[in-house]
Amino acid sequence: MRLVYLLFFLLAVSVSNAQIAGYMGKRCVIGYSNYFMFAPKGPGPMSAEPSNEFSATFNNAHCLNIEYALNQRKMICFSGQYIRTGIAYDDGKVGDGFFAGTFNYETETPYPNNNRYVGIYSKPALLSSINVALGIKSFGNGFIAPAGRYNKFEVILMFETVKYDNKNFEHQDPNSGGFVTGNLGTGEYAYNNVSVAYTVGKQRILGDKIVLDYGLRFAYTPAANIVTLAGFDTVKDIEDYYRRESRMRMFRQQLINFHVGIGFLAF
Amino acid sequence: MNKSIFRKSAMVGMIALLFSNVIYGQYDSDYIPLKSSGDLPEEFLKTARALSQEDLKTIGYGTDRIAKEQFIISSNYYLRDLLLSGDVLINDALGNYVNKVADELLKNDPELRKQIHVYVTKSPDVNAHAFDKGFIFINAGLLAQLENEAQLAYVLSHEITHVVKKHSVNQYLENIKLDRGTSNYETGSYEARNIAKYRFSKDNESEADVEGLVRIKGSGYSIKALNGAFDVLQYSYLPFELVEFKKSFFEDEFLILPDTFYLKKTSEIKSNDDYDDSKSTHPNIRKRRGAVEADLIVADESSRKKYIVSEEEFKKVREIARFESCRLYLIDRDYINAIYAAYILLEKYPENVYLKKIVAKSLYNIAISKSGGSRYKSKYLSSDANNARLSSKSYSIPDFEKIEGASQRVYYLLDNLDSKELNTIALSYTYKAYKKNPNDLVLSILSDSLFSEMVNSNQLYLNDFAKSSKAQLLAMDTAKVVVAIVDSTIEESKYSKIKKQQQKFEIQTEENFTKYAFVGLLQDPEFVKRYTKAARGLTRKEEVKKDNLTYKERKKIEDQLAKQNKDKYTLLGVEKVLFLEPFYMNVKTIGGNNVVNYFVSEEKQVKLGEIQKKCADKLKLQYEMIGTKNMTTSDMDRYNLNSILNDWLTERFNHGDNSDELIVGTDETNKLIEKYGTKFLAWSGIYNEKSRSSHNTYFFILFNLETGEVMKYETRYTKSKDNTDLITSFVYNSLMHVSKNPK
Repeated sequence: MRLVYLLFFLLAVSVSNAQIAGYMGKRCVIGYSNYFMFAPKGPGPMSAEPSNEFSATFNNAHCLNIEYALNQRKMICFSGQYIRTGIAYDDGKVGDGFFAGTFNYETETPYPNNNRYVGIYSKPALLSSINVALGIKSFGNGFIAPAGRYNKFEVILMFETVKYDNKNFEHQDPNSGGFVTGNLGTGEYAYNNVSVAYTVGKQRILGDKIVLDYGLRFAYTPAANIVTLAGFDTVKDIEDYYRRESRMRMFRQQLINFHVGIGFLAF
Repeated sequence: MNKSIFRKSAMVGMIALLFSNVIYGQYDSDYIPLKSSGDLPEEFLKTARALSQEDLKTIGYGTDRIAKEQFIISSNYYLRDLLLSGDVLINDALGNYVNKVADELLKNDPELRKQIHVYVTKSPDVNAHAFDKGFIFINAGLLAQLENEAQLAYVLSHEITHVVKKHSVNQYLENIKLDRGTSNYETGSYEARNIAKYRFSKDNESEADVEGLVRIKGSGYSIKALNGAFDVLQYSYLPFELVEFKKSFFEDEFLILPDTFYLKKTSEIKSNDDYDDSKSTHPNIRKRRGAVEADLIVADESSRKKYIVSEEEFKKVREIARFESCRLYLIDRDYINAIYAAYILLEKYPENVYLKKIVAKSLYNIAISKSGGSRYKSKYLSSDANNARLSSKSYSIPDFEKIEGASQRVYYLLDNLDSKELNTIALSYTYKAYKKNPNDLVLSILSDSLFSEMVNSNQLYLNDFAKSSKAQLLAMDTAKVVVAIVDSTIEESKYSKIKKQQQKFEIQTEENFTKYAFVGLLQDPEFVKRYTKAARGLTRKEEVKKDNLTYKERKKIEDQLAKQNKDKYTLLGVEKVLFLEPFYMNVKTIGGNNVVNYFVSEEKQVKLGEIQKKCADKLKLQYEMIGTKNMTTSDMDRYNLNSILNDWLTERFNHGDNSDELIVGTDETNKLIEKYGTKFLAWSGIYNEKSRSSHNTYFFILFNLETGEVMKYETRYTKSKDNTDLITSFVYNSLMHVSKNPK
């Protein structure tokens, strides 16, 4: 049903005898943008170091945009985005305190219930997010959408998924002091999040057809809702752990990023 | 033998008389404004870049090369701008004659003659100027004032000296040195160096005066006659003749202007020839005269002539220049001078319809300005399609006390008439002119507009005017008076008797001369019919006086008007538009100074034209560019068309936001509308400035050639480079609102 509404909208706007010029009569832009997200502490989705010490890198968000000029200086923008990045495994020094006689899980253990990761550190957990964004591009004084300088405000709904290697965890048996290999959580969790973004950018039209878009985006993704690990429910806690990690990563990466996009004037 | 001589003399006399009749006789009924003809000269077809490249080869590689380069590029840009402005006449009667005088002057120097190109420009100013490249422009206003051919030769000789001595470039280079403090000409303070620029210019002028005289001495022209040339300059602010102005010019048997409107004594002409010229580019007249006075006495004066080419031709040319000046005054909104110049010529050609139209148009414009201005003035157009308005340029009659000579009476008269009186006089004059030329469309339209003004602006209706003259009414008994003035159906009663007494008293004491202005015209059924039609078509709503409103109240009214006009003006549904060559100026700010990038400007101007074409095609808007780019020698029609439209546009801009006032070129533009099948004229342009960042100012303006109404006026200011895509989006947006099928 939603598709019907969308098609009806597209049909209506394409045949309406509008007083909005667009560019050479074309008001709808379909395009692809790549957001370069600077990750100062890494990791990228595939480029982790063989430890949890990662070098700075860029992550990418692939973005498919549909934009439509509502009036001379405003465009409504709908976009679908896909982000893929990594969350490094922590090399938690579980057990160090026990052997020293000062047993303290909370300060030493990143994972719930005294677990530590023993898998391949260089292959981090995968965080992927499919985002849906709705925004308004407001072109500067004198410009006519879709050409020229713009400010864009958008709200982004993020549907995040974290996949991690849940089979390579071991926890220390408090009785024997020995380490027992076992599963930690389900290996995959999904989270929802929301973000607000502000972009300053510029669009150029090449050859009256191709739309070139570039700019800088500032996005705020709430990361404050950090859950404190309960320490009793292993599965619940690891889910909360990755929720926190996922939000922190999104917060950091979306905070400042730049994009380059290419598209075409559809109608 | 004697008979034979007599016969020959008689024949010559007859031919001369016939010839003079041909000269003057052709203006008895009408005058057709000057037009260029023949082939376009090569110089008109070159770009500023091409013109500059020729000159750049000649400047060498000295230390001042950069400055010379700048001068060459800028002067050629302005030269080309002038050549293609439409103000320059080609192969016209004036230009041909002036060139014959130049031929005579330089007949011993054929090489120099080849370098000199002389043209006449359509300007009423008493002036001439030269470009170092060899172009000399003589204004029509100067030709209208000269006394004889020798004076014209002297003016030419003066300008030729400027060319030969390269005064323009020397002045430019010296100014730069004076600005930098590196000039040997003046090494003092900044103020002293600034004054020195004027002094340097005056030295050049003096040199041109002296050298020009030397050249004249080498020709056969009278030297004695040249003294008058300085008189021409000294009194150039006065009209070309001093003829007593009689108020009977506007009067007839019934329309009698009271003597109070007639200035008893006009101011004396007290032009001072020894004025302070310290900040003038030319020495004062006394100095100029003094510098050459001694040389004006030559031994062979008796063998010299005032006229070598032709006295008849000189007088014919001067007469044409005077006719042309009337029109040029009108374009400049110098209405009183236009009326007075036409008055002078009408004494000689009383039935000339061109001159009558000059007077009628001037009266109309003054009347409109007195009645409060334009009916289109208060339209606030929707912000999408129109975000700008032309500046308000109301006309007011100059202070008569500052005017000298006979024309002062015209200023005094028209200044003292109120709106109703002026409207009445204008209608009377125009309608009478129309009745003598019933096929003249302009006079007919003007009459209708004045009828409308009578009703709409001045609330004067037919019953405000008497059908019998004051003398006739006074001679009548009271009963007839009432019949003559009011209505024959009034029944005799106590009240009618009172009214009769009042009417009789009113006639005796009536001072309003306009009441009897139309006694004669009211006998004409057509006059009554057209007046009645105007009264019935009373449509103009009374404008709200906004002067006393607060900002909020005024804004509210403006917003309401904008809303009302939005639909009407947002999409215009135009099928075809005439485009004037676009404007483009690319400027860089270097060290606080704006430096025009002439070559880039010229190239981008072409590009803007291409963008317009592309957008118009896309919108299926029929596009006709009346440009001067890429012309060939046979494109004289295009050149003339451009000239007509430029004249129209110049006058239109002079009127600002007041489109009620009639445009001079109405006759020509009507033909143009018929020829091209559209009444819409568009002009657009871009001013691009780059300092720390780039700024663009884009404008687009669409006029209705028929009414002068501004249909659309849009400006855009963007902080951006002048990228093609950006400009395209501006142009498309403008044209979309103009075109029939916007999308």
